[in-house]
Amino acid sequence: MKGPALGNPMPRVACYFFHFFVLTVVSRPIIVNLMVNYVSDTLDRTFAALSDPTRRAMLARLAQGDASVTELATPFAMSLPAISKHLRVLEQAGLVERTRDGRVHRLHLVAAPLHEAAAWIARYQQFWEGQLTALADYLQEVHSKQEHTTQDAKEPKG
Amino acid sequence: MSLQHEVAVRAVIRRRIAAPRERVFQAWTEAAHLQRWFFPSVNGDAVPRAEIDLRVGGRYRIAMHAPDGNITAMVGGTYYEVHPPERLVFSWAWEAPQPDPLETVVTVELHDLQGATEVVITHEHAADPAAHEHPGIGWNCSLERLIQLVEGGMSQRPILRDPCGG
Repeated sequence: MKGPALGNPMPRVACYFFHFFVLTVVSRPIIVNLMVNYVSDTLDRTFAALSDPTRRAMLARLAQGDASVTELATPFAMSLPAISKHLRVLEQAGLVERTRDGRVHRLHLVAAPLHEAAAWIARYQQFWEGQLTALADYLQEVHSKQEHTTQDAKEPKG
Repeated sequence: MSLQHEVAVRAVIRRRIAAPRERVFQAWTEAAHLQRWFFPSVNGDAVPRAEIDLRVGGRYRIAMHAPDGNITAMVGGTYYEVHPPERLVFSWAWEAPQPDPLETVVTVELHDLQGATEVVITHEHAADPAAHEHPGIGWNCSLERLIQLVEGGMSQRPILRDPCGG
C-alpha cells in the first residue's frame, strides 16, 4: 500500500508546509502527544532560560570550556547569590551540569536543549517562509486581477 | 570586559513583496484576505477560516476545516500591538489538533520600499522581551553557532573572547 494508511488521510500539502505540519500539528498518536508536550515543557524552560542576557552570556562563556562558579562569575558585576540564581535556572533547564571536584564545582554546558530550541526555530523559519511565499503569490494574483479589470474598463467597447 | 555574548533564540524571516504595505497589512488583518493565503497549498482538502478582532487585546483564530466540517488544525492568539500599516504583534498558540502549551509571540513589521514592502516576521518565545526592548542589539550569534562551539570542543580557545563576534 502506498502513502500513510493510519488515521485520517493527510491533506495534500506543499513540502514546506507538510514538514511543519507533521512535526508540530498532525502528530496524533497519544505517545507522540506526550512527547510533544514533554518537548514543549522542555522548550518552555529552555527559552525562558535563554531569555536573559546574563544567562546567555554565561552560556557563551561555557561554550568555550568548563568553568568554576567563581570563574564564571568574574566578568559580571553581580553578587554571587545573584549569579547562583541564574545558574539554578540554567541547571533546571538542563543547559548546565555541575560536577564536584573536591570543593570546586565545575560547570559544563549541555547542548541537547539547544538542539531542541534550534529545531523549533528552524521549523518556524520554514513555516513562515512558506507563508510569505503564499502571501506574495496571493497579493500578486489580486494585483493581476485588478490590472485586468482596470484594462477591461478602459478598453472601449464595440 | 565585554558581555556582548548573545544568542539569537528566535526565528526571523525577511521577504520583499511587490505590493504597498497598506495592501500587505490588509492581507494580514482582514479575515476575507487572510483565509485566501494563510496555511498555503491545501488544494481544497481543507480550507482556512479566520476570525479577527483587530484591536489591542482582541483575539484572532485561524482554523483549517476539512470537507466534513472537522477542524484539522487551529491556531489562535491575542493582538498585543496594532499599528497600521507598519506593525502587528500577536501571541501564537496551537489549539488543535492538540493544544501546545508553549507561549510564543509573532511580530510582523512592514517596511516601505518605494511602493513595495519588506516583511519581517519575528517568532519567539513569550518570555523573551529582547526583541521589543533592544531591537537588533547584540543578537550576533546564532544558536547553531553556539552548538558548534559546544560540540566542537572550544576549551583550547582563550577564555572570554567573544565566541560569536570575533
